[in-house]
This record gives sequence, C-alpha cells and structure tokens, in this order.
Amino acid sequence: VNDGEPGTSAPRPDAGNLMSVRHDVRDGAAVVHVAGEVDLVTAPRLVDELISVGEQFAALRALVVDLSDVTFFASAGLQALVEQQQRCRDAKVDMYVVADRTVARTIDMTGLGDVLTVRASLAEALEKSSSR
Amino acid sequence: MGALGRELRLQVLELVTDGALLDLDFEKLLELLLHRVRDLLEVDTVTVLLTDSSGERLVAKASAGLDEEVYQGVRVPVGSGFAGRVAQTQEPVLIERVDESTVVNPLLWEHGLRVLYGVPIVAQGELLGVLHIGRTEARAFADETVALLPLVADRIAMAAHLHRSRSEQAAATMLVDSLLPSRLPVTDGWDLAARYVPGADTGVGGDWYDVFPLPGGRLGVVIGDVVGKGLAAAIVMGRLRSALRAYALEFGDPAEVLGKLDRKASYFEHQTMATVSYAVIDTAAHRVDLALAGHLPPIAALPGEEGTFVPAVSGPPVGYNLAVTGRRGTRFDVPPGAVLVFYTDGLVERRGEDLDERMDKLRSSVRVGAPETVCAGVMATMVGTQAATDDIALVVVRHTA
Repeated sequence: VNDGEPGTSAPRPDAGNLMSVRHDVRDGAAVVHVAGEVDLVTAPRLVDELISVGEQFAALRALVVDLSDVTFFASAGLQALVEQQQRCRDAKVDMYVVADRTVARTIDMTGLGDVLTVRASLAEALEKSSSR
Repeated sequence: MGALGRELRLQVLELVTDGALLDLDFEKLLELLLHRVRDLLEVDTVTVLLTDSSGERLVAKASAGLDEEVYQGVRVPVGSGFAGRVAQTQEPVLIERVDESTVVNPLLWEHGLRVLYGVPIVAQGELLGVLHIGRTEARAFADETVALLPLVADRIAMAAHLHRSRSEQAAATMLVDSLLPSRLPVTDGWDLAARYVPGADTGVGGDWYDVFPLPGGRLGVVIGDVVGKGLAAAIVMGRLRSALRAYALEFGDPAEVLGKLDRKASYFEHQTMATVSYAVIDTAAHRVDLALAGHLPPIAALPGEEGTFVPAVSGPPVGYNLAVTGRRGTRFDVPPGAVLVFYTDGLVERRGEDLDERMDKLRSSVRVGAPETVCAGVMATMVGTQAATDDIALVVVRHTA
C-alpha cells in the first residue's frame, strides 16, 4: 500500500476504473480521497483503505474522508463510513466527511446527518479539524 | 523431467481438462478426480478438505483411500496441523514424518501414512480448501508428483467455486422466496399489493417487505433493506424480519419496535446495517404510526391529488447502535380513498441520475387506484425497460372503505 513516503499511499489502479481511493497525511490529519462509484463491488477497497489509515491513528488528530469526486454512493459506502466513524470515536480521532450536495443528500436521507460530520469542502474540513 | 515424467504430466493434464467433468455434479467430480489421481500418482490416499462457512475450519469433503475422514466429519482449524498449515500459508507443505507433532488429525497416522503432501485450493485469491496425498510407505514423492498436484487443486478450485456460488445463489433465492409473504393479509377496507424484483447485478439481496395483522384491528407494514447481497444478506434479513415481528406483538409504538430491533441487530449481528420503515395502520381510526430507520419516506396520495412524501424524519439505520438520542415516530391520517406507497432505494437510485429528481419522478407517478394498478404504474415509470442493478421492494396500501 505504501509507496515509500510514510503515511502516504499511491492511488490504486483499478481494472474497471469505477472507483479510486488513496490517502495522504498532512499536519496530523489524514485525508482519504475517494473518486468514482462506491457500491457493493467497490466498497471493500474503501474499507481496506480506511482500515489501513486506522492503523496510523496514534499519530493522527483528524481524518477527512473526501467524497467530492464520488459520482455514486450506495449504502455499502455509508456502512464503511459508519464503521470508520466508530473506529475514530474509539481512537479519539475527529472524523469529517467532505461531500457535495448529492452525496450529502444521500447521507441525510439515510438518517446519518447526525452521525457523520459532513463538510462542503476539503478546505472547510481541514480548517475545522485544525481549530479543534 | 524424464519420459515417464512427461507421460505422467500428459495424463494429469488430460484428466484436469477432461470435458466429461463438466457434466458431473461437484460430489461426483471430486470422487472421479481423486480416484484417478490416486492411480496416476501411485499414492495411497487423496483427500479434499473444504473451508466451512466461517472460513476458520477445514472439513473433510471427499477422499480416495481415507474415506473415514469424510464419514467421521473430520475438522481441522486453519493454522494448526498439516492441512491447517497449508490453508494458512496458502503454500504447499511436505511432511516426511507423520506423527502427533506434525499432524493434528490422528486418523492420518492411525492409517499408517508415512509421507504427506498438501496444496491449497484457491479461487480468485480466496482459500476454498486443501488437497493432500499420502503414502503408507516412507517413499518420497517424485518431483513431477509435487509439480502436478497443484494442477489438480486448480481444477477442484474451479469446480468448488462454481458449486459454492451456485448453491449460495439457489439458497438465497429459496430463502427470500420463503420469507416474502406469498399472500398478503386480507383486511376489510384495506387493499394491498407488492412487488419484489432481484437486482440485475446483485441478484437477490437484503430487501424485504412484510405485512401482518396485529391485535386490536391494526395492520403492520414493514419494508427494509439490509446492506449487502446474496445469501449473507438474505440470512440477516430473515433474522431481522422475525425479530421485528416479535417486537411488533409486544410493543405498539413503531419507534419503540425499531429501537428494540436496532438494539438486537447491533448486539448480535456484527457489521450489519439495514434501513427499515415500519408502519402500524389503525384500521378503525384511519390513522398510521410510522417510524423510519435510515429509510426513504413513504408517499401518500389522496383522490384527485398528486402524491406527496409523508413528512417523517428518519432516524439512523438499524445496526451499530447509532440512535443515541432515541427514535421518534410520526402519526398521520389515511382517509378513505387514500393510497400509501412504501419502497426500497433500489427503485429510485440510479447511477448518473440525481436522487432528488428520481424521488420526484416517483412521487408524481403515484395516483390513487387499485394497489395492483398503482404497483404496475410505479414499476413502469421507475424501471420501464431497463433492469435495475439493485433489488427492489414495493408495497402499496389503499384505504377503500
């Protein structure tokens, strides 16, 4: 997963090009970038990436899951976020989800608006995470 | 490789590529393969163990020469003993001294086996089991034997994978068929219709609906969606369905029922998330109590009017103990002539299409009418001639009296 630089993973090549996921770490905040379609087929790779970020929690203050480039977000993706939210809570790491209107709407409609902390942009999430 | 080795290689290749194997069911295929391998490789025993549903144990499935393993239901934990080591490392293991220190299963040394060689059975990176051969004389396996056994394991992997996915699909389909109501309850003044369509990509999944009469002239209407697909999702769905029915008998308030269901699912069903809508219709008072757990709101339509979303606030889905501040319900009236439409997200979610637009399309397609007609109309509008990738459940209730 790691390409040499600590705490940074290379974008994963994807045969179907349906979803890509990678993460980097800056100033104690890990940012997981997700792009494309998150569904039952692709969600397991998102889960793997989130778990591998979870292994670095001791060195982290915050985690941002950036879904700005996600075009389709099914319930399997919501479940991945909920599980990560619980890992973050246990590790006392703040978690933020960056979502545009479409994904934010899915989160809201699923009654997860109070469970997940959603921000409209990565800049906003990082700002919030550093002011805590 | 000498001439004998080349001859053996050819024979094993012929065996694993034999088209006749395709006509056999999995058990027969194993029996034939194992007996032929025993003869070709001049060994005394050939045995296949397959992983159980937990993936943590190997269970003896078929054998040539060591049938008692199968008869006695031998089980080996992945990671311990000879076969367990092959499974854990997914690498071949050769044992040239068979005793308690190298092998867990006493049948192997009691049978007098002196040398053993095992290879993993792997399909698409997933461990399905272990194939091993044994000899009662302390004669080492020839190099070609060691080289050829993985070819047989690959043939078995192909068959086991196909067998497993076909059986799972059949079991999931039968389970869902048995759990969805074959006939909807008949209640004076309230007509019902429903649809369930498996997803084109996901097959049968975690969607379900349930309608049952409750004491006191009430009618329970459930629609839900377990995240996941196939047999695993169908099994969880079955448990949630039963648990919800049990709580529905004990508690009148749908919000309380979903709270209990959530507690049960969070405690017993790890890594399960489900959305559920539960409505209790008071058939005498023409009133509905509704609670939503992560589920999309039902649509109500009155005669002469377009459908509207029932203004209900959804709590979080069931599972993971997410409803820390409790669950709340909504109460609304359903006057005579009104229609209620409950559905799962498979009906509205489409790749590349806006969810709100799809929701609005659904809402405006709902008109009062006979429930069967409403179902047909909704499916025609929302699905049309394009199969949905995810499964769909739909329940329509009309208040006639």
